[in-house]
Amino acid sequence: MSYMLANSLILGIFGDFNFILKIFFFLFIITFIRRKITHNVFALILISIATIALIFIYWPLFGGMYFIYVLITMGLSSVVVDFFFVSMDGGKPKDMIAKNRHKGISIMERKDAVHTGLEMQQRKQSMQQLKKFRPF
Amino acid sequence: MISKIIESLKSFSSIKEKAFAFGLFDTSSLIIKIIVITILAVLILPSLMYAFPIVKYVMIVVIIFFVYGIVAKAFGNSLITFIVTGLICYFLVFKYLFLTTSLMVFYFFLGTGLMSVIVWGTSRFSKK
Repeated sequence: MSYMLANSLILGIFGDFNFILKIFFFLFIITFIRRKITHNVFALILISIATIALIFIYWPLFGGMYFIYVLITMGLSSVVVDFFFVSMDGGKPKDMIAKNRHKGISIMERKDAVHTGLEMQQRKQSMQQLKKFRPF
Repeated sequence: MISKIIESLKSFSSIKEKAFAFGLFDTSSLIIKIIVITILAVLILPSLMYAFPIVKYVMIVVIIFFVYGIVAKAFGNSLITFIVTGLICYFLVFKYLFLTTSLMVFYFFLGTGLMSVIVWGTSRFSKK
């Protein structure tokens, strides 16, 4: 009994809000077409065609699309982006610094090794040249 | 059952321990925490409406003006505007006032960027 009551209550709320969404979609159609077309009769014809097609025939498709459009217009996408930023674990600054620190040391060591190796080679070459040109 | 829960809650001394007992700060995932905090924040105004009737009347006026603004954009200042406004207000104000107020608060949160504050704040303060 209580299950049926809850079921009818939820379905009643859903039906009422579906009807309200239809009214708001109708208002959206009117506003959109009036903004684009200033000719009164032509606008009325287009409004009636759009209303019949989008609300009375294809409402299950366009109702969902309009609901998503309203949510995106309200700014739900920024909340989703915020959530993605907050929930990413690999992007923590501490971890990134720790990872790069290790890499940085190895790179510096390699650079030093390269530099020292080059310096040693240059010294060897200069010594050999000096030996070559030594008169005695 | 409820008395057992209340007794177990009394055994925790601080608010943070109670929150840990509910799993708000420790085990539950971030999205559940954000949803719980958002619902609590959204339900502040309906609870105020329940406690103080003057808040209810203010919210009724706010919702009626909000609906009139949307309808007047489509129909202009005419009789049909008042008819459609009355039709919508019957559902939104007289039938589902508390639900509409919650949705209005959520819309306000989204519009002003307070949802970002809630998301970032929840993730920041839920860490140990």
